[in-house]
Amino acid sequence: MTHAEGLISCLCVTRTRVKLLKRAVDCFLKQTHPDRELVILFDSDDAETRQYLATLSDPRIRGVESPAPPPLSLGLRRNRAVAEARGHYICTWDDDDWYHPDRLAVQLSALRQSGRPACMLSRLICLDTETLRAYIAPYGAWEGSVLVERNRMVAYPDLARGEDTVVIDALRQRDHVHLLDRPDLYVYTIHGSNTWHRGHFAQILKNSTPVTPSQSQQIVEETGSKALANPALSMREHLAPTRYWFDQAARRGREPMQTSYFRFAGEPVRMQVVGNALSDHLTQTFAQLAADDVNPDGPFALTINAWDRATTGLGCPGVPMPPDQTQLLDAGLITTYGGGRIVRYERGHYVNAIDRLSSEIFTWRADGNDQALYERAKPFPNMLEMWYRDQAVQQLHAGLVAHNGKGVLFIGKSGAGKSTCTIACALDGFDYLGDDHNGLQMTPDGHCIGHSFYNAARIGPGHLAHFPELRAHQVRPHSEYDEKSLVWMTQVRPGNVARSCQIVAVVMPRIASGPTRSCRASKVQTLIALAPSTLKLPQGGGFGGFMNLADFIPKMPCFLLECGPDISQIAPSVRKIIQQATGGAD
Amino acid sequence: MIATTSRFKINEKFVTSKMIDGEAIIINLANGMYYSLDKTGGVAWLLIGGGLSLDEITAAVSARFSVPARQVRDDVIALVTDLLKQNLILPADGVAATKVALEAYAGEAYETPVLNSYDDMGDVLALDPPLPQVEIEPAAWDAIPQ
Repeated sequence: MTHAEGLISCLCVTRTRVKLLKRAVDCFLKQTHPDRELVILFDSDDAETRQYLATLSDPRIRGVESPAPPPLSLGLRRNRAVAEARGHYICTWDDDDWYHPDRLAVQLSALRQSGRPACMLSRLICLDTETLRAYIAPYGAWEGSVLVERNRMVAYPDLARGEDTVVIDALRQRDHVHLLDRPDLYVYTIHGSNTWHRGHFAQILKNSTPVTPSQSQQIVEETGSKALANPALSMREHLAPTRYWFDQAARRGREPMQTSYFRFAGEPVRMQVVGNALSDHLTQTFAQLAADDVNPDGPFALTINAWDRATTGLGCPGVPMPPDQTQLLDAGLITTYGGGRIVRYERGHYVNAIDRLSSEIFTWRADGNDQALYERAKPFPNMLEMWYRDQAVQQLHAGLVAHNGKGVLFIGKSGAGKSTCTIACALDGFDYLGDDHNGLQMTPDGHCIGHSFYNAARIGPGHLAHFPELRAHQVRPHSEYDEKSLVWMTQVRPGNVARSCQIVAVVMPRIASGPTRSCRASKVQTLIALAPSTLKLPQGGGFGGFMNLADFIPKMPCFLLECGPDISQIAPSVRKIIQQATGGAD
Repeated sequence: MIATTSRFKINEKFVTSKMIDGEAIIINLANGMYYSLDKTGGVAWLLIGGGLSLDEITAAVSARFSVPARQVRDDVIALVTDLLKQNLILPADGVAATKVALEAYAGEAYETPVLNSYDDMGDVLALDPPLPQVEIEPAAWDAIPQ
């Protein structure tokens, strides 16, 4: 092979962003593929970039000026960069993204093996430099990742943005593109000065899969992204008035602030509540997650701040910033700010808000002593689900119980028998984690961990008929909006609640008239039973959530459980399922 | 009428799929519709994605499940017709066939493949609406001057 046949021209179009450009140059220099050049095209009125390029002595890096002002469109500038390329291949090298040292080598190898003239990444890592959180982007053909034989390249259209989409569409129409699934090769950086606006990225992130906070931290450090954050875009001021009035409530309330500690998905959580009644209710909601091993000095993965007007005389102010989006949700308004980083939900008698940057939830009630049962069972569900999602914990619409630490998920539509199976098992010696909403976390070593979200089990007349011992613990509804009663499972079975377990089986219950029995179920059908009811929730996780479930279900033995009229047969059947799923180890 | 020498490819721009235990789940990201195929359908989906012609798919399915080719051919044509109608695959007569491993399906019984469709998650699974169509002058597709 001649030198020219292996030469890759990396094409970088830039304008007055030397801080970002330096990192892109550094990534180029660290590439393991030896035959490469970097063409940096900048506008002739961009003295900052010219000055920086003058400091570079590596002959493989060439600066090319483009006439300005006015600057050409991004599409035309990209065409000029292509025209300057000397390599057999060209590779997009955006100035604001980070590239793994093996990116060129791996993509070139994949391209050659595929026999196609272009290689693109089907996924990449998205890093939000303001929240310092990283996500695995949804599947697609990510335009910025293209490596293509130069003579197969087509011209970019004269567009200021979206120019690369048109080119990639043309390559794909010609069946030229090989898609490579190596998200680790490319970190797409959202930094506040991208070509696209925040709303565009908010949509992408909504459909992405968050990585864990510690993985995010690792990516931030490895890519040197902390220094790229734009401090002018801090979101902290959005909830500053809310924070101020909570502080005032804590100082001026006639009842002292109560502080309690929990572990949500294993992470330390502090809850500060002004108002004794509200405090009692909120601590009861999460009583199964109470923890005495949390350091009261922090740090906390989440802080929950709550107050009510009845006790403090203080209401909750609005957000003094223009919203991104406002939508009706269950007779309330849910509003997002700052590309989804601040979310606020408001109804007549309560407000919930989350600052995802600082991991704080604020919750306000008109009267902490006068709440419907659905509010007590799940006081700020959307905010909490968002926080869990940021911790890479996918919310599931499923019941969850565990026996000797081995968890079984009950899935299906409302009325399928999830609650009945969950309660039947909980009353028969299993640990209870939740009857309808729980969390799923997949660990890097392939384990599927189930996390309890809520202490309450919602019960209807049918449950009371099946499980008469619940009557003694029944909290009856007093609001017209409550259709069901509830029981606090820490009161029903004080020693049999768990925070987390390892999920070993997924069960689809079905109410039947014959004997209770189980059989193996199709995993695709199990996924189809789980996905809609989970993902239709307001914070269900979108396409990213679906892919989480599609990764999870194949790891699980799946069963169909026909539940006959004799409810006492459910728990023994579930024990047998655990035995089958774990090869006999109960 | 589809010729039995026709080849197809997955409509990768909008379609993603996952094989789970030999069955396929397919999502059309353009509209959020999703689909399942049982094991026979899963085999056919793999072979279609591998660029095999209808004749080649028929022969491979017939051999794998030990059923007459004639029965398989009618079923495969019906399935391909459905997949085309749902915009999940595209004609691609120029594509080269790749080898598809079917060992995992040993011992499975043949069933007429049926494309089951579900429309209850359109708002969840549909991704960004496509960018507004940009009209490109034919000349713009010319290769960059070398």
